Amino acid sequence: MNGRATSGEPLLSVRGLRLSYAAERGDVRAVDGVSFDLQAGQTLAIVGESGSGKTSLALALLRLLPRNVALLQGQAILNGVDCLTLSDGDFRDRIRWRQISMVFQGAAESLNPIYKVGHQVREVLTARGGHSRAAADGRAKELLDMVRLPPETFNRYPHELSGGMKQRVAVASALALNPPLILLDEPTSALDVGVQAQIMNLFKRFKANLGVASIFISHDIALASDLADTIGVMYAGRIVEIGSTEDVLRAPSHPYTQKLLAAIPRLRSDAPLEFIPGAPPDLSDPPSGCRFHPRCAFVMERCRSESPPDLPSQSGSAVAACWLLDEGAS
Amino acid sequence: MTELQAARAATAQERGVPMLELRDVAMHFRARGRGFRSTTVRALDGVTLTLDRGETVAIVGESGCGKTTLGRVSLRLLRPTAGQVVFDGEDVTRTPERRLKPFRRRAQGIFQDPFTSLDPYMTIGQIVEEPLVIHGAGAAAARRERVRWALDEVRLRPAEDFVDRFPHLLSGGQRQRVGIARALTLTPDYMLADEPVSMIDASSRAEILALLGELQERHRIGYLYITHDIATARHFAPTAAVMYLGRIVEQGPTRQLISDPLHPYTKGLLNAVPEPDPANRLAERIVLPGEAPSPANVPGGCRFHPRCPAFMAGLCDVVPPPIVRIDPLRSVECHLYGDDDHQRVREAEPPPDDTENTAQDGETV
Repeated sequence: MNGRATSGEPLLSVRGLRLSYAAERGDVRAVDGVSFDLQAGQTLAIVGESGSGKTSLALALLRLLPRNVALLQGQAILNGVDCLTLSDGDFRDRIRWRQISMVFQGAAESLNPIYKVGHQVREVLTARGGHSRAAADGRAKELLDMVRLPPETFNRYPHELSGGMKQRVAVASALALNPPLILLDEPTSALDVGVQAQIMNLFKRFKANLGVASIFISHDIALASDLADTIGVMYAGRIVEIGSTEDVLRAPSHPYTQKLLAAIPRLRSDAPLEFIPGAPPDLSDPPSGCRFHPRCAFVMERCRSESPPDLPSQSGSAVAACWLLDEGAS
Repeated sequence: MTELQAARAATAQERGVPMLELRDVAMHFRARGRGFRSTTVRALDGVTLTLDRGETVAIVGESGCGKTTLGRVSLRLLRPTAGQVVFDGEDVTRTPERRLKPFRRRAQGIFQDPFTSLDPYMTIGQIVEEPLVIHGAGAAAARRERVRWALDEVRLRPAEDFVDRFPHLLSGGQRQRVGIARALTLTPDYMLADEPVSMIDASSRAEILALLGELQERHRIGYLYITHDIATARHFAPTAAVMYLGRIVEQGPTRQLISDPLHPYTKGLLNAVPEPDPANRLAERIVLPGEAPSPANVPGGCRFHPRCPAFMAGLCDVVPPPIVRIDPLRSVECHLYGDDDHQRVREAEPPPDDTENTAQDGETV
């Protein structure tokens, strides 16, 4: 199930992605050397706490960057095209919405309150997809049906819809031009657990029926397991562990992943909850060596000075950036 | 606590009176409807609940179920439109604000958002000291000592390092601890904890919950833990009540609610909760259809009937379900359990009380 095990060109291949923001106290290294592959039709979840850089990673892939970017480097090759070297205009015309679309946490609020829902879905099709208005109307209605919204939604204004329904409209727009990849950044975080499950079911259906690949960004590793084939755990701007969902959940290798899993209150188990002492580091001045070392229970001398490379875990498919996996360590 | 209060608390306990009692509480707001008409928002519609010292009861429900209103009524931040709020046997439902101070000293709250609930222009020391100033508790030196004590209790140590700092310099978990210290300075008996960890990173949630548990042991605080997350309720609250559209639909020991849910809504809610499991992605979840309607538009009969997989036409849409006591600790409000094997506590909910709340500004939905 892991991307590495599948043969053939990946749909998306990210190499050495770095993104820094200029700030008074020095550049904030939000994404600091991230690499991964994603196969067509698969879902990669990026999980991490607030400030781990997961949203910056998404913004870099979508080229939706704020003005204070100090550094953007690396490659993000989608279907053979490096998205990071295209001009803004080329990216907008060729990639965004057509090749890679997105659903954000606040997508419900991104709907324009003065236009009817149908108009807004149609706009993606006419402005980006070159559809005629009549064709776009037909397709917009089809899309609303696909996300299980009643036909009359087409003529409703956003304020007449619930949060869950607005999120469905955002999903319909994201699917409008049949992109092979959708970026989902905390797409259900503002929703109640029941509606969240409905939207997750919707994503599962599109993955199975339309073969849409996705990058699912979340702070919630349990929710990520609802969709992800592969899980990447981010900490302080880096992916510290990545592997198949089975391996990462059943046999996590990185102490951070282990702690993150032990911190989740389980519905059907009374295992005592653990927490990670301290706070995530300031990314304008990250710790030397392994960035997790000040909070790690297994810290060794080497961890303080040398940054660990990606090392294969015991379980096979996963790799983790942790010196504990180095054979010489124990 | 003054000696008088202590004495009163002691006698109340001897009499076997619960610390906090909500009796058939309703909270109806008048809101603007279509055009010039007004509608009634029934945020709470007959809720009965008790909480003792040293006890934790979770109120679990989705947004709009009335759980936050319930919390605000329990602190008498809202005056309910019907029913009673009784604290140590004393009815405080209609007590005017100027006479509520003794109650306020003993009933404090911590809230969801540690980013907006702390005044950014006040230092941590000032924030934690404020309740002491309001209640005229001690001279300046004694108050400062008390602030240091409270910061130490919530493990913001050493306290001296925190008193002069401003909230924006703290992490989410640290800010929430400031909120707890502030609520703790007056050593309350009752603490409302309204979603205290839902905006905190997963890695720190357990730390805050463990801290609340320790404080409870040391100070015998009773918590009403309001949450949308039934999994944290299992780990923090031995007893839980599930709310839907202004009513408690099921209550009992939290573990039993989870292992053997009775109400179809509780079952649906549990099905929707993700656990970290690689098998999750292989099948769709069984979910309840639709979303809860607005409390301005409560369905007749059983309010859950339009979404209920066990809906019985002619009964559920017409007759409000009775509260059925399953055993001494568990009850459920559902027609499925209306057999005569179970003792009916009450035939049905009372007719809706249309008294409008005039003391508060109506909230627009």
